[in-house]
Amino acid sequence: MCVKLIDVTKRFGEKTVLAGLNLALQMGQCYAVAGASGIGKTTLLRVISGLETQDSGSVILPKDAVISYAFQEPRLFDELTVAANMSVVHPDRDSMQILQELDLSQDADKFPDELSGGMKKRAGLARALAKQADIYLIDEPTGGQDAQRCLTIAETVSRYTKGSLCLVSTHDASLVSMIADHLIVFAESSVQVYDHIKDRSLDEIQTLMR
Amino acid sequence: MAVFWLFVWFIAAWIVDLEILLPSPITTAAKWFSLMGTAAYWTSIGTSLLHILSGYLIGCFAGILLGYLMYRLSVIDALFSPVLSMIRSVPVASFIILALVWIGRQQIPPFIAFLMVFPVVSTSVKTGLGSVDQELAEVACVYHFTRMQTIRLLYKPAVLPHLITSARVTLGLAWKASVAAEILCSLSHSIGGNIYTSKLVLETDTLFAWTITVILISILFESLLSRALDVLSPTARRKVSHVR
Repeated sequence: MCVKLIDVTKRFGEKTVLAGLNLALQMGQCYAVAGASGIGKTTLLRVISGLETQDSGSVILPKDAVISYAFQEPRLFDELTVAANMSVVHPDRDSMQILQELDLSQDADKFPDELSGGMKKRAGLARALAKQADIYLIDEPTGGQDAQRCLTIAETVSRYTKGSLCLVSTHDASLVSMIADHLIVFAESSVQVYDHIKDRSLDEIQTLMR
Repeated sequence: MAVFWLFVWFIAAWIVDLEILLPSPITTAAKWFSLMGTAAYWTSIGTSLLHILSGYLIGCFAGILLGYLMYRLSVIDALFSPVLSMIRSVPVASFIILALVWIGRQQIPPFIAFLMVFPVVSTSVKTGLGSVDQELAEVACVYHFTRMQTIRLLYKPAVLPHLITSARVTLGLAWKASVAAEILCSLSHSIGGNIYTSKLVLETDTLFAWTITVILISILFESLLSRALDVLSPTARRKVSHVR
């Protein structure tokens, strides 16, 4: 079973973001998606989630696949506490446990406007991980986090997405080295997929991501 | 402040020295207290309240429904937007005169209250629904929110501020327009009807007493509505620890 993108093209006005993209993403594997800002990483995640419709080509998902999406922005409901924000997605996992792992256990009863940007971002991630999904789409999970938090995030993402297909959009080579099995690098005119990322050093990964 | 203006009124009445032109605050208060002792006073207030509330509530419900339909169906929006603009710009007196031709006098005050509320609420509901946070709508889409969740978490926060503002603005408008309709229709056993009769028989103190009644009820309405809406307001949020 895999997620297949066949000749997928997506344009925004004059700009072609995905140009005839072909990918086969294996279930149970973690793919890091790298590339310059605005090059199409988020668009790839959005096309797979169904939030964006491709202009041409096909996206084939396993039947009844459950998708969980941690957006680049936290996208929390302002009138709900962190715990309630997790509850709205009908979590299959212990929300408090995930909050604890992401250093948010003291903040479960706080409202989003009482949290810092980094805390909100982790709350958004916690909500996505609370769902037992077949496909996890995680957009820049370590953006705006300090080094220690990045490590915590990497461990938590790795633990909770094990056995599912996970696509993580990131600029963070350390995160890639810790969680990814494969690296998809978006460049101006091509998309390159590198396998066996866990066998590569951090320097090699950084080089690939440039 | 109120004491200052009462004093100004008192001095003005003393200078004019003609009760039929400007009754003093004391005469007005005496008339008002004597009116309050009569059953007719309370019956008139009850009738006028019934007029405004029926028109206001029907206007709110119809406005919410039309606002929703205008948001969902562009054809409904295209059809009704010009009508709503027209209703808002036609003078109230014109509607009252037209309504005198179209419908029974008893129905005119509620109808006029309805017309004050309906277009404003419709437009504000449509605007509110159009301002739903699209990023949160995508969260709802990805996680397959139920209809109730969508209403509570997306539509309610977007629509409520617009609805609260329009409900506040139109209540005062509807009340004044409804009383004006009662006056122009010279409806007996109503506040407007009593104001009309006072003017006919040149009982200026009675006219002032009824006008004070109108003002006090208007203040009471504002206060009650503010309290009710504060409960619903997104800023008066409750701590929600677990929402399914």
